[in-house]
Amino acid sequence: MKPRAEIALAWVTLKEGMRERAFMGIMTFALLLLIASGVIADLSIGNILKVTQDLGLSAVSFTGLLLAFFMGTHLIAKDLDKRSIYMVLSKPMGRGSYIAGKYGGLVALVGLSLAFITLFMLVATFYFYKTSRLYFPPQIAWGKLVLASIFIFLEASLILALSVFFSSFASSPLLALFLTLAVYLVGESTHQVSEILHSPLGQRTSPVLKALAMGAFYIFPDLSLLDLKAAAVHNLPLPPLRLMKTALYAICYILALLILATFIFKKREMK
Amino acid sequence: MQAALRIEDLTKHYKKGLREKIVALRGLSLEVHQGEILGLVGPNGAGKSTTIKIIMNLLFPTKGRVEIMGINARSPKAREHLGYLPENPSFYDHLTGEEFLLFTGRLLGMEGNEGREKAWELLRMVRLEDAGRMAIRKYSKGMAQRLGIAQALMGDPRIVVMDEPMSGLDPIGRAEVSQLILSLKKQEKTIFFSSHILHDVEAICDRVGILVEGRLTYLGTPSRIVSTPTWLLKIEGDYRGILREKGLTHATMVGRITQVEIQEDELWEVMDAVRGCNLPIYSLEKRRCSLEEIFAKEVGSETAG
Ligand SMILES: Nc1ncnc2c1ncn2[C@@H]1O[C@H](COP(=O)(O)OP(=O)(O)O)[C@@H](O)[C@H]1O
Ligand SMILES: [Mg+2]
Repeated sequence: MKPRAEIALAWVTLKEGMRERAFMGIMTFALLLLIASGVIADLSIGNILKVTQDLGLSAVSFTGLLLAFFMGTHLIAKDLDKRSIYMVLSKPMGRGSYIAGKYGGLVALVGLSLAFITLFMLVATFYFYKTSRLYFPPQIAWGKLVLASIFIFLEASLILALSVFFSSFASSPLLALFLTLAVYLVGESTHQVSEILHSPLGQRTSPVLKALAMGAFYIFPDLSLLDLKAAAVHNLPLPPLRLMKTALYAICYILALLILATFIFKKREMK
Repeated sequence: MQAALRIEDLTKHYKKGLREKIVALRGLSLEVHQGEILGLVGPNGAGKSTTIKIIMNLLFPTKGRVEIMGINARSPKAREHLGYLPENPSFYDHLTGEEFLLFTGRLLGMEGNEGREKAWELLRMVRLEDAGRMAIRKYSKGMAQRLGIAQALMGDPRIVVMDEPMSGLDPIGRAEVSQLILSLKKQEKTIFFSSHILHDVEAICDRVGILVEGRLTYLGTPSRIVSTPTWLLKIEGDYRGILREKGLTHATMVGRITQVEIQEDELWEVMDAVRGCNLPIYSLEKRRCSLEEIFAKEVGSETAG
């Protein structure tokens, strides 16, 4: 059986998202950011190419985060609020199909946007590379730049899954947004915290606190794993096995969130 | 024959704050037979939408159960038999009417071509063929309502459930929807719909259920609701004096019109009496009980539950 219903819902969600004012705003902002980063790079005394790549990837990452935070919570809340969701849930499909379709559309929306912005960034980098006045222009790791963008997309997908998960029970989009943001902030720092706990400094923290921190480390997503920006810009080695494990980790985390969201959503009344 | 819809001892509480609760349905039991049109009437807040949303598994019963063709409403399989028009339907309104119906078709597992054919068949049926390629955003209330009906029929369901299909429409729109419902009955579909206006229901329903505060106070044919009709005579100008002379003491003035209520069995007697007076009669109409009166009284003979 083909997942026709899920694909149809994803497609409608994608089209709906592209028409949102918030979406257009974020995309305009991202392009301005990229153009501004080009100008800044041009003015900077340092290595113009490094700065371009650095700012460019930051812009991609920032766009991915903004889209993931806002579009996920917004589109689901709108569906519930306007009750257009009745049109979908009154069909002989399970609530899991709704979650899958909506999530699919959101991922497509963010994926297409990031692809577009990454392309823009690559073109800008290429332009500066060609017009560079440096005697020894450094090698640019094009592949790693793309890889870094793909991992930004993975991170955004994970955040989307978080926002879908929280939207499945939060009574307001603001609450869902807040919870997503909170998990993101914790997820960004769990790695550092665990490193501190494993350092000599960690020996002196109380065991209870340590256990709590380690618990958090396992529950919250370790988002720093997905950040390849520095490695791409400075052309550091990226072992393929580690990348594959990291990608698998993100995908499993996303699936777990969606399955949980389905369970919760099944119990939710559509008032 | 198996009931199309069986509602059994349905009770629904809404939580309000931490302690308080609102009781929307109090042990509602009702069966809708296959092929009939059953209208559920009741004032606002009676629990009509709550009942329908429980049928559609959008809300869950506090107590009791709902079966659709013998399948528990909680199962997605039950919805294979159901088409649903929500109260004030809302769409993904960046789509056109045609696109929305195609989308609905895909949700139902239809292929592109199959869906397109059905979509246009339905657009013609609800007279939206000229608006099929227009964005839903630009639809009028009546058009949106008709698209909502088309959407409910996409999967050719045996049972169509509609929540206030006539609300917010002008008299022509109401008549159109009534016609549509009657034509669905001809296609042997079962129709269960709600309304807060008795008039909408009595003309087209095989049976009417009256819901007041979450309880069914009447279930039966529409003609039985109104036991003894009265007549209302309206005369232009103040003729209370003349009427009093003829023994009609309870005439009242409403604006420039004198109104008097006449019992069914006294009608001809009274008309004979006033014949010679040359009164400028404005109208004489059969007056049925107002909905408030019906909702207020517990109709005796066929009361359910
Ligand atoms: N989501 C809700 N939360 C709390 N109370 C509700 C909710 N929906 C409906 N109610 C209450 O339940 C009762 C029945 O409402 P409803 O089924 O919408 O009536 P109707 O459709 O007949 O107008 C009303 O008293 C209404 O205030
Ligand atoms: Mg209602």
